[in-house]
Amino acid sequence: MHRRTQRGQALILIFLGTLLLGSAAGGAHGLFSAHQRHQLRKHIEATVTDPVRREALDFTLEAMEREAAHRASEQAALEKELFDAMARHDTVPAVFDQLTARADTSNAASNRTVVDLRFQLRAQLTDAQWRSAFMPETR
Amino acid sequence: MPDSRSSCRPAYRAASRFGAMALVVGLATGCSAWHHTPEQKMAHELQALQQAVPQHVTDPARAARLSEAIRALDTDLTEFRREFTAMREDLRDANARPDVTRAELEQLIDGYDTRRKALRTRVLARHAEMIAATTADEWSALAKHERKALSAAME
Repeated sequence: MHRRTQRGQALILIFLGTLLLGSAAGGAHGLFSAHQRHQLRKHIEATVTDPVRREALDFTLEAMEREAAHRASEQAALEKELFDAMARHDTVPAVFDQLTARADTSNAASNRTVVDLRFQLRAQLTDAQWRSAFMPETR
Repeated sequence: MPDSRSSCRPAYRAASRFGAMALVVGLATGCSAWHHTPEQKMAHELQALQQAVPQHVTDPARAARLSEAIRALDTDLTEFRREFTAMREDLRDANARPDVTRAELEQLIDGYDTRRKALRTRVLARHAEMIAATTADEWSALAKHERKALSAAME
């Protein structure tokens, strides 16, 4: 149950943010790992047998993976710029304003995309399938 | 002729005992000794930063300002970790509901983002206080600790 919960939650946890830059697709290790994507895909393969629905689900999952990879790449680049700026004694405050503004714009766009994909995935699964993939272990 | 297996026995027994003890400790602690939480890493790095202050900043007044900024940073990062954990639980609960609406999820995400940005402003202000309390040379010796503490907070 625990592992199933983890694989389901991995998709939604992309929303969670880091303090300085926002979305944690790349910074928070393991939230959207290749292993977790693999586990969710296996779960869907085991529970959704209709090939047409499966193809649609694969499309959504792949879009989620692409978005996670894109955001992780952006986050890593911004994080490096930010930490390099913080390490320099002569960095002016405007540099931090620019970096955080860029991060906020990118983060907002990524959040919208992931919310879209979340509801796309929701529409492709029945209530029971959704619960089985995303139910918290405490329930 | 001595039995070579007998001569190895004390070393073998010692190794076995050590292995068994390590297993017991690992099971009892959940291997926590080898897997520090982000909070533990953050506290460790902030402590390292605090301890490095007297080594690199000899002026007492500036050292005191720096230490105060580090303590404030500790408070801010601890608050952030608390916020992050609470948000993760709220989001998990909301996401598990098949009938959760987009507006409900967005409200959670936006609320968290607003609080995160406010904390970010405070953290950047702490950074500015630390920069103001140091020379370029002093900061070059201290910056790595700040970076490690922030990285741990953002895990």
